[in-house]
Amino acid sequence: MKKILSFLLTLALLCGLGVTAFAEEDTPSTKGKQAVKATVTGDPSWVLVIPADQTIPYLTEETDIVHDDCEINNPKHIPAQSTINASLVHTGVFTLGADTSKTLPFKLNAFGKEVAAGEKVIASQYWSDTHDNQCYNEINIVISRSAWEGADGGVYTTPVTYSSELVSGIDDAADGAPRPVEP
Amino acid sequence: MKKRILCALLLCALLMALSVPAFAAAPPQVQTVSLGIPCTVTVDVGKHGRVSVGGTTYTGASIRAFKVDPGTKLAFVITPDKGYSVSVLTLTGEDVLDRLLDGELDVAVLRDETLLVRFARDTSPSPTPTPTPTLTPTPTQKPAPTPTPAPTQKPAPTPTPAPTPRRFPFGPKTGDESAVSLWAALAAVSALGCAAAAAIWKKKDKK
Amino acid sequence: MKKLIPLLLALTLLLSLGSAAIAAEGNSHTYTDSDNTTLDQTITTKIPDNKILWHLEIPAEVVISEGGVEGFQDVKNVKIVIDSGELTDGQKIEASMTYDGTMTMETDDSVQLAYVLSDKTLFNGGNYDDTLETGKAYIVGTKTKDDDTYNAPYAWVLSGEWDMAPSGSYAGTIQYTSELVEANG
Repeated sequence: MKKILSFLLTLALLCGLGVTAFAEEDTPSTKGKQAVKATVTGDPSWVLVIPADQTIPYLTEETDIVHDDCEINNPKHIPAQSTINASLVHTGVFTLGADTSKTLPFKLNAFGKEVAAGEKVIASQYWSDTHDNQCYNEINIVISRSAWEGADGGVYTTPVTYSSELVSGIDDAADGAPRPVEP
Repeated sequence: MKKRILCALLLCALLMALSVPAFAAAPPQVQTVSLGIPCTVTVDVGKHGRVSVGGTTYTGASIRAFKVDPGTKLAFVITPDKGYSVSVLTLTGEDVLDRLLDGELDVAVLRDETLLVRFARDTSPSPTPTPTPTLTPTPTQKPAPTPTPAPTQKPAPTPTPAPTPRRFPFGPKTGDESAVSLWAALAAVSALGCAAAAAIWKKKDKK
Repeated sequence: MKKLIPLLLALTLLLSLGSAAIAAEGNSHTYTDSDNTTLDQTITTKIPDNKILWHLEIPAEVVISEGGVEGFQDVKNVKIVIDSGELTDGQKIEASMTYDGTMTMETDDSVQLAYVLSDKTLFNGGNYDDTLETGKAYIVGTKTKDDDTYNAPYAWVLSGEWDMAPSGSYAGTIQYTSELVEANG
């Protein structure tokens, strides 16, 4: 009996609290708000544009191979607080046509520092917070005079491979300079 | 059962994690950087002919070199002396005699190249010319001038007979003109070989 | 302890019933004194003659789709509803709207998606670029004695803004107010 009585009183308590809650009225008003909504769907995407093929004049010791021509275009649905980094890698040697035994070595300098063969160096960046694309131009192929003069005659080529990726977070500018600020 | 479910879930999570980089990266692209080193062209000309290229003529028994930018197209004009023809024509070790057309060889220089030319006497006999017929004048016509006879070519010099190989002093005269001394030496070697084989066989018998 | 619990529950029940009594509307309260007699207190109010009371029916939410232009007409448009009284000649109720042109991502309020509103009059034959200025009040409805007129705006998101937006759900608000306007003279 006591248990039943306790149960009923508890139930009454809960109902009472409920009534108190419902006592707040939703009265019509002469002002109000309306919601406007939208849902954006789609995977992040962009177009990477790389510099054109280039010929280095004979005996030129330092040549900028990127010269602001690496671009990240048409970015779509890039998540907030993220960065797209476009990078390049080099092989460190020119080869004479199909004859891989005949080579002409070179170095790659980026922002004043030497970059080893196979090591990535950032050539362009896009930041989602400012919607800004920064292209770089201090990436140079360096060929010594002795390398020029010691090479057999012919046309030599080297591949410079570009790739890009989306990373979480806002990266610093690759050249160490302050990032462009959104106007 | 629980382990299997856990493994399946971990596999799903791994696959999802791998798929994220696929959506977040663009395919790599290649920029080709090239440069040209001037190419050295060496012209090695043998006797009895000459080679002309770019306004320069290289005469027989000479080796000369010059430089051109890679990609330059050269036309070598190869002129053998009278009575000679091109016997050897190689370009950096590759036989290119079949590319010689009307005495000209076209080359697109993409690397250092060496042109080697050799000439050999032309062995095919020259034909005897047929005399031109004289015209008989008709009575009503003015007499046609008698044509001067075609000059006759100098007779081809009789080839000097090939020297007869020296014969073994007391050998008979036969139609075989090969060197007898060589055969004699071969016979001597064979005899020595037989003697050695016999000696070895005897030793084996004694044992 | 066992006896205490039922006592506490009984007290709580009495309190809840009391709050229920307070929450109910009414102009009169009934008290019961110890002699078990009832006393009625009557509170009366006097509404002036021709006092106009009205409210706004705020329309349902508007959902903007990619590349779409969403109109606010019909159920999505505000309506002025008179609760009591009548408008006389020279009186009108005007409903106006202001918007800030920004929707915020529901999972990250630092991410925003801009949208624009355009007045119907301008949209139909007007310049697409003639959008309504943010923060400024625009009359979207007028009610007079004999007539109701409404200007339902249109909403859309510029394609460039849509492409730049990270994937997700966004929401913003449009503010409505209204007032009774008396004609001069």
